Amino acid sequence: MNRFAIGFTALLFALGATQALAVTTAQRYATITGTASGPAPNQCTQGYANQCPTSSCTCVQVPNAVVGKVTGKLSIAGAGTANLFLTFDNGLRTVSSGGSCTPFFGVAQLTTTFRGKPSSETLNLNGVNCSPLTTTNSPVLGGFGISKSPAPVNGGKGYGKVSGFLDPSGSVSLTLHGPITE
Amino acid sequence: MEARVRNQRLREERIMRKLIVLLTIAILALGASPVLAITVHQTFIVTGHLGVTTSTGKCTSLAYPAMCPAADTCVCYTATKTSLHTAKGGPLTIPPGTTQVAVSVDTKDTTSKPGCRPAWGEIQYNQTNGPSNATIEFFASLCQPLAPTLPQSFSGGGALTKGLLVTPVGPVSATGFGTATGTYTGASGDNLTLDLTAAVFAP
Repeated sequence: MNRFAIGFTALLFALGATQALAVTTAQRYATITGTASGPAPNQCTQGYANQCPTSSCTCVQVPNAVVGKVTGKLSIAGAGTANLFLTFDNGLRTVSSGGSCTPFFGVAQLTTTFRGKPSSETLNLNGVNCSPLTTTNSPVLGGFGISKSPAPVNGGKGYGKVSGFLDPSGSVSLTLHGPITE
Repeated sequence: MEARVRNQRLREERIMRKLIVLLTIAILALGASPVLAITVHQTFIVTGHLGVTTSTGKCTSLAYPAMCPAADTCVCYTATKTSLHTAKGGPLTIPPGTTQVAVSVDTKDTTSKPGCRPAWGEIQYNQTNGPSNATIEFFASLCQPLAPTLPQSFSGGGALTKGLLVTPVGPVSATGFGTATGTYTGASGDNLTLDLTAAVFAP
C-alpha cells in the first residue's frame, strides 16, 4: 500500500510538472493608452527605437501609459503600465498635398501583473502614423514582436499587429494582437 | 405688320433660348470646377504575384524601396502579373496599363523571430496609350502569418505622391494618402494584394 501511495504521489508530481511546463500558443490581446510628449529632436535611444534610417528623426515618449486587457480575449501581459518610446523618421514620410504617413520604430517597456505574478517584457514595434483619414484621429498601423533582450519575466514570446491612433494632441490608444506563446 | 411682329417675337424667343442654353452650360461648368476640388475617399487595389528576386539587396529600380538602410540586410521583392485598380463606387478609374511593384524588406530589423519586418514599397502605374499615371509609396510592417492557415500580412500606410487619374469629367492630377494593408502568400503562389484606402485630393 505504501509503495502504491508513493508511486501515485510521484505520478501526480510528474503530471503537475508537465502542466507547469506546458506551453500554448493562442491569439492574445493588449491595449496601451496614454498621453504622448511633444516630439523631441533626434531618435529615441531605447533599444529597437534607437534607429533612424534617414538621420531626420524625432522622439515621442508616452510615459506611464496604461496597459490593459481586451474584454473577452486572452491577454498578452495582464494589466499594468508601460513606457513607450517612438522614433519617427520624417525623412521616410510619404507625402501628399492633403496629408502624410510617417514611419516609426518603437519600444514599449511593460511592467504588469500577469496571472497574479509580476511581469515585465519589452515589445519592439514598427509601422506608420498617418494624418486623419476617415475620422479625426491619426491612425497607427504596424507590427510588434516581444523582444528577447531584455528577456521577458513571466511573459511569453510572439508577435502580431498594432492598430490604433496617435493624435497631434498627444492622445495615444493602441491595440495589439497576435499569436503569443506562454 | 402682324407678320413682322410675329417674326420679331420668334427671333427674340430664339435668342432667349440660346441665352438660357449658354447660361446653363456656364452654370454647369462653374459647378464642375468646385466638384473637382473636393476630397474623395477611394481604395486603390494592387494585385499581382510577388516573389523575392534572386539577387540579394534592396530594390533599386524605384526611389522609395531604395531607402531600405544600406547597413541592414534588405531583400527585394518584385511583382509580376501586376494590376492597379480602384474600388467600385468612387469617381476615379484606372484604365489598362502597366504596373510596376517593388518592395524592399529589411530582414535584419525584425521585431522578433518570427516577427514583423519593415518594408519599403512603391507602385508605379502608367496607362497604355494614354496619359494616366500614378506613383504610390508605402511603408508597412510585413508580419509572419498570425495563424497557420493565414498568409503574411502588410500593415502600414502611404501616399499617392503624384497621379493623373481618370474621372467622369476627364483626367485630373491628384495626390492622396492613406492606410495600406495587404497579404502575401509566400508559399502558395506568391499572391499579393495591397489596398491603399486613401483620401484623394484634386486641385
